[in-house]
Amino acid sequence: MIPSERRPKRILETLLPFFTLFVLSFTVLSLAIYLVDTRFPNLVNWHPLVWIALIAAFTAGSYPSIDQFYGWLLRRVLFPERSQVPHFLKHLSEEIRATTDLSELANLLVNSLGEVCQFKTVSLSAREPRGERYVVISAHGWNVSDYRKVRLEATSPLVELMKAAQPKSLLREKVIQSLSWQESNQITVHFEALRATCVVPLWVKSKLVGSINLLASSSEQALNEEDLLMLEEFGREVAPSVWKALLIDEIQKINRELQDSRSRILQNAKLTAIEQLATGIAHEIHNPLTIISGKAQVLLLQKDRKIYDEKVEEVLKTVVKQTRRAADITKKLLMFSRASASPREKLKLETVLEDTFSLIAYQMSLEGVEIERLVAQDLPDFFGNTQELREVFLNLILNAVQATGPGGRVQIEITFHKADKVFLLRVRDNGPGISGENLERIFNPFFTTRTDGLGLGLFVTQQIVHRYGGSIRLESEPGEGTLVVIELPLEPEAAPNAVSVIPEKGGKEFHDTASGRR
Amino acid sequence: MTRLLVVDDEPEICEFLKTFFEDRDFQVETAGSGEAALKSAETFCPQVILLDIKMGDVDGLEVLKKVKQANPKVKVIMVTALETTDKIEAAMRLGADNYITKPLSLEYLENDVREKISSLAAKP
Ligand SMILES: [Mg+2]
Repeated sequence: MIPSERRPKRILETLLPFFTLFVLSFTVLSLAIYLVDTRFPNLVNWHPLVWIALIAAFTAGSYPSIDQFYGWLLRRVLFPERSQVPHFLKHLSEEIRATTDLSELANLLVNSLGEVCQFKTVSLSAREPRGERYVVISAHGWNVSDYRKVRLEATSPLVELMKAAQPKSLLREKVIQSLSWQESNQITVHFEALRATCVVPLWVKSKLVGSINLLASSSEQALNEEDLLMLEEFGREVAPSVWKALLIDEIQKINRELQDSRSRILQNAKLTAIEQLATGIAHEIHNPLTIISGKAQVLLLQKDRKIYDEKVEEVLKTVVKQTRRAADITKKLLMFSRASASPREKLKLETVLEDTFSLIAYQMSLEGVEIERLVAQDLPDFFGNTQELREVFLNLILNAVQATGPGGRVQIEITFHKADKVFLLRVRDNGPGISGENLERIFNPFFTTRTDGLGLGLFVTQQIVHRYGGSIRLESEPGEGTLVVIELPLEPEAAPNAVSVIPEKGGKEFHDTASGRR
Repeated sequence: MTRLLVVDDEPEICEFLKTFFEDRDFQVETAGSGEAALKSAETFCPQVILLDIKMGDVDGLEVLKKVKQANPKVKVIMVTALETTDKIEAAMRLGADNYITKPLSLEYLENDVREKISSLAAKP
């Protein structure tokens, strides 16, 4: 199994039979000539070629048995297997048993086997605790992105064969010989998917929990019976540890999912509460606001009115303006509430960005902020709602511009990550940055560091991004500027059903923002 | 003179709207409930109605349905506290001519009312 160990033996194995043959042939030839010469003088007349042929035949006939004899002598008598491999495997299995982290365990296993035994590839595939499939967890000698895709269904012929051969390992060559042409073709595909010529199963009691898949680096390294026994023993030793690590990993995964859904439910509860509150406020407060503002307007717009004191007029105008502002809070809140699920269509993110830009370009030029746009070529279409996405861009740009102030720099970048099928939006500013304490609260509704802000921009942005199954995060250090990163999946899952905390009625009354302003 | 009916369950709102439009030579009547509105619609025969959606007794939509049934030519402008309700959609389907949200911009409202009147006059 370990090539470097074999070298001295291999030289002896090759040279000894030849040397022996040489001596043997010489002896036999001399004996023959002697015998012939003394006992059967009339045979001497044979042609010399006949003699040579006889000797060649003798040599050829006796070579295999002599070779075998020396093989036995060298391996069993002179150099009995004192290989380091069993010792190494024992040590490795001990180390593996002490590891509970799945990826650490898997990496240790494949890399140690791969490096010490010099296999071309070694991979560990394991059963999904909640499923029936076998997935490759780690591999030595492959690209990470390649082995992540390898999956074996529980019904695949290779898995069935492993189950049938329990607890023996499978050698590709042997398996293929024992099968029909069609079956062996099928199996070959699976061996090739695992990039293996040998598959060592991992059994825990009667459960096949995975396998170690090996590919020898050359045909000389072919595994013999003894190697296989050793590997099977190793498999038995580590299988329970692999299974334990798999279960721990799964429990951690479930725990994370629980935490996620818990925070999502909390977020939803928060949102519907805000929605309810805003609806209530709109109805109860808009009427008094209407009266205050209406009466002021009546005075301001009165025909043939007497000329007011300048101060009175100023006060009246302020009353009208400020009531409008108060009313805007509830409007803004409601506009993005969950109940107002907006229709989605195929669109181009770069177009939405351009539109948003043209809306605020004039204001930006007044602010004296330099805005750089970096949009990747050939972005795929996105399935979304223009209004919502425009709101996202608008909030991010305005935040960045307000953070930098005049003379600042803002960079907006849209890229698409092909492997993960994710759009990445990055907005970077060179403003004063955000302290860690504020960073924690940045997504809370009504949290703002500005005196003129409502504190709803990032909250609303986050809500929209979540609706698309995306994520948003802020990276900032005081004095270092701020980077906002949004990830939007190309194929958003259907907006997750709101886990409604309030009765259906509350959500239904305010539905759809499609009816526009007239 | 244009006859304008103002319907709102808030008396103060009715009052300032009446003051405002009378100042602009409208003939204004007010109604503080859906029921009163239906009565006024019959007796006063308004050309334009400003109609609050959310009212205690008979809801604005109900009033809208009935006045439009009785006289399809009457112009109705819905008044609502919220822009995003499906009630607005329902009102537009029932034949409302426009809607306006609270708090009201009186200049905008006046323009809208005048527009409705001129569209009335334009039709034979
Ligand atoms: Mg009302």
